[in-house]
Amino acid sequence: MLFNSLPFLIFAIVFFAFWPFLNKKKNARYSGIVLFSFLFYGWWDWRFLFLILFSGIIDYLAGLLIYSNQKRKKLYLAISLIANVGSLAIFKYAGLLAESLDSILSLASINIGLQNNLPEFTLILPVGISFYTFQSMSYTIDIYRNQLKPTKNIFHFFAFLAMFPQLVAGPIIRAKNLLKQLEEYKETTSLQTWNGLKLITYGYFQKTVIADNVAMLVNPAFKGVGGNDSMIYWWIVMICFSLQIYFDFSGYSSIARGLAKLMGYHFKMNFNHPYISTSLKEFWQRWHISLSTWFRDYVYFALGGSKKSKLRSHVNMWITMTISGLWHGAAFTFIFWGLIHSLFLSIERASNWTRKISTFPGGKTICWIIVMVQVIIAWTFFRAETMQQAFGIINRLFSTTTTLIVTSQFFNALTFLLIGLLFEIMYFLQLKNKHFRKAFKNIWAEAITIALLVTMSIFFRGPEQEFIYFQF
Amino acid sequence: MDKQINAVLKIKMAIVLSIVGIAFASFFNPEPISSRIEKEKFWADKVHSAKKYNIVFCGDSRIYRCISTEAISRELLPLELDVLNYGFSSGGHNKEMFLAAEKKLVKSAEIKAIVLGITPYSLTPKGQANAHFKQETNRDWTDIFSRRFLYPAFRFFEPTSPMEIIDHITSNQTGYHEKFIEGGWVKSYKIPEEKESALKSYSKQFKNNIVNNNFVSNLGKQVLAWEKAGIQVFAFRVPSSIEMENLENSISGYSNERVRKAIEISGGEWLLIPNKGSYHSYDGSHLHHNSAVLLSEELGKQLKSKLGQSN
Repeated sequence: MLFNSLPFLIFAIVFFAFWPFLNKKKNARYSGIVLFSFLFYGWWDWRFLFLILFSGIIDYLAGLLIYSNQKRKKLYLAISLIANVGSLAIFKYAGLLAESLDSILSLASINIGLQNNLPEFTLILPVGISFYTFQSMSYTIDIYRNQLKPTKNIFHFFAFLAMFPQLVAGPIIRAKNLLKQLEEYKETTSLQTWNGLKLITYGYFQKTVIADNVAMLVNPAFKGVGGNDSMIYWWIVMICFSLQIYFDFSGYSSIARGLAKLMGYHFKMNFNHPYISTSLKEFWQRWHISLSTWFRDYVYFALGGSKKSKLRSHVNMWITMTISGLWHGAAFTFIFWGLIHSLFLSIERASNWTRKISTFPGGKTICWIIVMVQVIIAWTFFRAETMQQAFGIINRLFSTTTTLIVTSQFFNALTFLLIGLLFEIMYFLQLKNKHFRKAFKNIWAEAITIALLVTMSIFFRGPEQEFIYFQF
Repeated sequence: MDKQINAVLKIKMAIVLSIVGIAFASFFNPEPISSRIEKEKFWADKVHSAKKYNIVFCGDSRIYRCISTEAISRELLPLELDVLNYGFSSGGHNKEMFLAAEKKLVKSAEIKAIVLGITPYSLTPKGQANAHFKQETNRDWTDIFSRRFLYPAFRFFEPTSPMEIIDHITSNQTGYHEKFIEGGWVKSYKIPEEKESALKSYSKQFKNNIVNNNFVSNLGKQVLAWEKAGIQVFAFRVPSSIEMENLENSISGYSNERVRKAIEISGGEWLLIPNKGSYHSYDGSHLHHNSAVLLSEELGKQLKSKLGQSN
């Protein structure tokens, strides 16, 4: 079910009509969450519910076994990891693995055509698989590390794993945060309701008004039918894409957080205005926080983090970022996206250039510009369908052609680009200016802002598009 | 406690202000030159409506923009025949489309016919992909339901764009004007007209993508099957601009004679369109709605004299 679809609207109305009653009784709360979440997921394809059940049951049992049998806990953790990574390998990476193997074998003149002989089910990517497998893995790893006690009730486990607001596109929730919240009955307060509604409104605005409208410029450009090909055009396209992916995903996260708030739960912030960052390190602390911290805690730290040596910390960071790239998609373009970020991060870490430049007058602005250029260059690989296309666009970005044919579609997308930028600037101004912040905390200002965003979400909504992160 | 009271107040204020905002915006929302809600309903109806017809026109965008079913029905009077324009963007003539078109016919009707609008692109590999038709066919039922019945009830929520608002304020008529007519016709024109635009695009489209003889022979086989099943088949080359026809003749590998022969040998009838040069195209490919009506009247007249007569 898409958050921006009619079935979800009906689903949400029914769920929140029942929720106050379900919430009061512990068993009803857990089973209600599981039941509605399975309905939410099964709406897309009920057969893939078995996959969630399969990996969930393994992790639930592995969690209990790790906790009760400390001597063999490594074995149980390995089983859990193999099951999760295995299902990812089958459903997400089989195509890429087969393609790579075919290419390697063809060097030795062996042609087995593995890619063409893959079973059909490996061609379908179960929605949200990357999110729920990671969430599930964090559960067993935390138990292995003695940071979490496993839950004995399977409904409690599945309520944590499959909770519908965050099931298919995050944020990736940690068991230690959610299980505790689920245990207690708390009536949703008026403040939570207001904050929830506010987040949902912000989320829909970000998705339907900004992301879906700038997509009208980005999608034709990457299909090669944008009617322009100059340097200036590609910079606009890439800035639009940078906003599209941010508002699309941040929008989803906001709606998810808002829905959780209406249920009385708190999900941590997943995006903290990443485009105001003045260093790449800061960017990664603000972008997709639940995934970045997941990789930090379970991959980077597991590899030794920065404790061993400077060189080793760089190597660990490169490995982490490459896996992060691969997490986003089974294509070399995503791996390259991770590698480019690694390269820029290594340069930043080794030279400390952001700190040095920041000391000059206007230095922060220069840092911000350089960081944004780096992020945009990396996004090119993220969005391009092939490496060849990505390099072609990079080439255009640094060419000297400036011709631009402005169609009405182009003009519309530019307007929404400006609205998106304004949306972020408003936040920046509130952050930096006390008076501005105070003015926006005014009851009237808040209510008018929400009313304006609701009205814009209705009348300026772009053509309905799936959330980008559904494919990951 | 203050925060809780404030929150309740803010929720109430936001709801009231949202209602005011929506009412205000819907009142001033300009009439779109191409309504997205109407468009979505139009395509969903075309594919998913259970209504059956006596005559079904098949083809690509030149069909759905150039054939007015109203004009044809008018010419066919006193025969009261239901006509469907079953054209789709980049629609190719292949088994998938043939089956879908056949399903739209009234099985028990005395007069039933399929009219194939032939364009070179519809007989190329890219045309055969039928991407638009598949997109509309494969929508899930909730999407179909929303597009056909729910969203049209909320016409006052029609989305707009900054450009449309500016055009409305300045009374600027620039853009692609489309009206989605029941029966499958998209009544279209463009301001300003861009007579070269389609030529450029088609020059690219035919690169490594020319008319395939197998598709022509499949077309012939299908005509034969339909004729055997008592369905009359007519075909014609859809008029476009003279420049486009010359371009297609020179680079698409299309032979009008070969296609005509394949249809006629199989029992179909080829309709000749007189005075092709008199039709007016706004983009070099599709006919202006006035010309579309003239063409439809011409086809209606020809069909009236041929319907019900077996070869």
